[in-house]
Amino acid sequence: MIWNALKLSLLVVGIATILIGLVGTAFGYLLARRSFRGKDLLDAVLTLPMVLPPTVTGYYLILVLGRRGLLGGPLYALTGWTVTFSMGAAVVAATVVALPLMIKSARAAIESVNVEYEVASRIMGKSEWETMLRITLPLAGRGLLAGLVLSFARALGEFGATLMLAGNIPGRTQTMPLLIFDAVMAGEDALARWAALILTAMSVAVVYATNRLSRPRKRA
Amino acid sequence: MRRERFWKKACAILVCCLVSAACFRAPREREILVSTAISLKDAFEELGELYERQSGVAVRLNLGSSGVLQKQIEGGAPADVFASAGMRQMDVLESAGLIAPGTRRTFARNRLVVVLPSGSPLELESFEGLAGPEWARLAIGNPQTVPAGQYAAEALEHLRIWDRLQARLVPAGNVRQVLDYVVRGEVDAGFVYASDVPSSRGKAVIAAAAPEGSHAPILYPIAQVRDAASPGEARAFIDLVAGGSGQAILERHGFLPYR
Amino acid sequence: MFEARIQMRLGSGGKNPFEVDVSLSSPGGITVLFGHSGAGKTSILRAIAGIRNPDAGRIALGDRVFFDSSSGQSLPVGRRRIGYVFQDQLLFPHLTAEQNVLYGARDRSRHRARARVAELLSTLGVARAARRLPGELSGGERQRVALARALASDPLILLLDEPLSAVDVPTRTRLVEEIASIQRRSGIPFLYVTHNHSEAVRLGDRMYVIDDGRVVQTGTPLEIFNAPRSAPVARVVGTENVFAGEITGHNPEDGTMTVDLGACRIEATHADLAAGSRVTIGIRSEDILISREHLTQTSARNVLRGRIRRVILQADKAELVVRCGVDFKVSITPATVRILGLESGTEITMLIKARAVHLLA
Repeated sequence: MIWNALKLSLLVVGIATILIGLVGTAFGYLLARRSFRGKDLLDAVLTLPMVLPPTVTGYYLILVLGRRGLLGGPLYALTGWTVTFSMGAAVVAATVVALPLMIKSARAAIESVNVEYEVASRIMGKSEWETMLRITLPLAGRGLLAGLVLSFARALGEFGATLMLAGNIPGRTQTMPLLIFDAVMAGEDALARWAALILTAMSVAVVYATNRLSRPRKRA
Repeated sequence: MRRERFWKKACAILVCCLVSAACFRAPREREILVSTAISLKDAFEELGELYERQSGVAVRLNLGSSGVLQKQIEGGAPADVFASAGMRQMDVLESAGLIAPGTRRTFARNRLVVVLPSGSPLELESFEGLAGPEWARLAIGNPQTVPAGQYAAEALEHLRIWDRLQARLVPAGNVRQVLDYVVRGEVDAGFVYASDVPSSRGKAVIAAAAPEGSHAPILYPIAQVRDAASPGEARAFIDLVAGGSGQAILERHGFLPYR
Repeated sequence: MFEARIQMRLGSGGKNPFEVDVSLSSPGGITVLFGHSGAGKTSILRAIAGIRNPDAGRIALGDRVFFDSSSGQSLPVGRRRIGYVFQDQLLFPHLTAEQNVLYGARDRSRHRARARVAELLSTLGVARAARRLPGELSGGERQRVALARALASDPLILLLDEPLSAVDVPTRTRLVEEIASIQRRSGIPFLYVTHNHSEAVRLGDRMYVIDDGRVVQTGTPLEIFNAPRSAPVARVVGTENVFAGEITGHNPEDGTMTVDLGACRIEATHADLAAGSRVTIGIRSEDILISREHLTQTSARNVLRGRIRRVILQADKAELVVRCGVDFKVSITPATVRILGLESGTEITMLIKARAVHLLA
């Protein structure tokens, strides 16, 4: 039971973290470097999943992606497939809930990079895209990594929205947090204890490794 | 200087509020806590109101799936009465000595049915029909903790389609959640009690009932928890539930009487 | 031929709007933009680079039009083939010196690019710093790498924004000569922003004095420094007489040395430099005494007879431009002008102590 949930958690959080990294950095860059009408509104909407209780976020996700949802409905009519109760739903829930953390971190990290570096790069003939990839993002690296770790941790512990959108199906959507919940409810103390221990150890290991990696390189 | 005075005032007001709140506790009216299986929600709300009118004692319901409620009582929850949707949960507590001896009564019966979302294009005539491939997702209470799920599992095993349906099952935390999945259209069908259907206000319709003998009879036991704070009130409430007026109310809510 | 006509309004919303309205041109060589900070010099460079387009005007290098408000043309920043050396170098901190320079290189083949980078680094004397990060380099090394990087993209024009302001004096002296020789070898025009007299004199083939967003005088640096045409220019260039010369001899017993200004010879305080060294000297206009009579028995080591070319009278001070081979600025009181009856054409004697002649860095 634990191994299934563990593998599932790692898979779900792994995919979610990749998505969060890409989407979060993209939005972070947009908010840090561009100004446009409605920017503050966009920022507020993107921050929402962070301040809403996970169950409310779950509710909205069902509203949109459920079999009769705004997007889920047409999708089901067209393909006969819904995301609810699938591993994809667990990935969606984890991503949506942890994304705001990444966006905020990415935005702060990119804003802290001196714009003049980008100016210098543009004068040398590099496109905005190349400048972003070779100069801005590497210089914002530390902050981006920190954001990714935060998001990873949040995604790993995600429960409420996952339960609502993906259900609690062992082997398919029962991530570690859901397993622990079930175990406690069913009175399986040993199972709950081991699962909690493993989850804690994993989180500690990730945070530790990241702290080591992001330490400035020692000069020879 | 001004800042300091502001904070002093704020602290004083806060302390006053806390003190008055502590003193101002509402007089403890007498009440009993009834741990109630979710499928009994609507019926017990009405029974509770009736009891309060008659005795002046309020009835507070603690709702959950029977398995969870059982664990709570094992863990020392301060319930006065336990009304379960399954005999097994009550048996466990009884053998653990957590039930006041002589207070256990069986007070109702129920039927297991399969429901579809209203407006579903699929048709079903019997439980066996669920083996067909068009039934992709079926909601069932988690058999480990939800009696309705246990009964459904029993029935499906009896009909020899349990293995085939395994991969299509979506377990839910309690029987009302099963109903919710069906009402929302997230699943193609779900296993609930006949008494649960009215609460869906027409959004879920019964397609078929479990065949006779495919599962153990669904009986609802009720008993006083041994360490109840108000044992007298608890027993009085149990008498009401098992008595004539109680049974009438239960029948109105879709339960079958137990004689 | 580089030409720029720039009009723009600056100033972050609300604060004093600042208007820039200049017309520049450069046939080649090094053109100096001279002025105090805040005069608009950097804004002009940034407009030429394309970082911020002017509100109106035209900027073109030969037939390559960077910007033309009348036709709405505006060449994107990356296509202008401009090299830019920033005031604080702005070397990418996460790349080594070599990688920084390589970043700008446009060569098609990696191999050729690396070769060019190696050549540039060695020309600028920083080959050994190639593998180091900017944080590990000295100020002078960083500036050289910044130059190399700007040149690596094979620019058609180089813009330099006070590149030597953060560098110590000995390094600055060396770098100035190197910049001059780089320009000669590359053959592309340089636009050099500075407020340092010595740099302007040593590098500028021509100079624009910028004050309050406008050009207030153009000419060669020496011309302008020693013959400011108006009070605003005088304010900007300061009261230094600035001359370029060569040390021709030392007089150890007197503690002086002779500096040949070409048309004039001056005795300055002895400095530890070999004969033949090119130097820039400065004499404050307040330090020059004048007399209508020719005096010989004085303590001044420099007694120069010259003719007044111009008198600039103001309410509280007066300035004379006196030619004695070269033009000297002399600062006196308006009363003196009246009392001595000084006017253009009058012959006077200038007395300058050797101590008042100092070496400019």
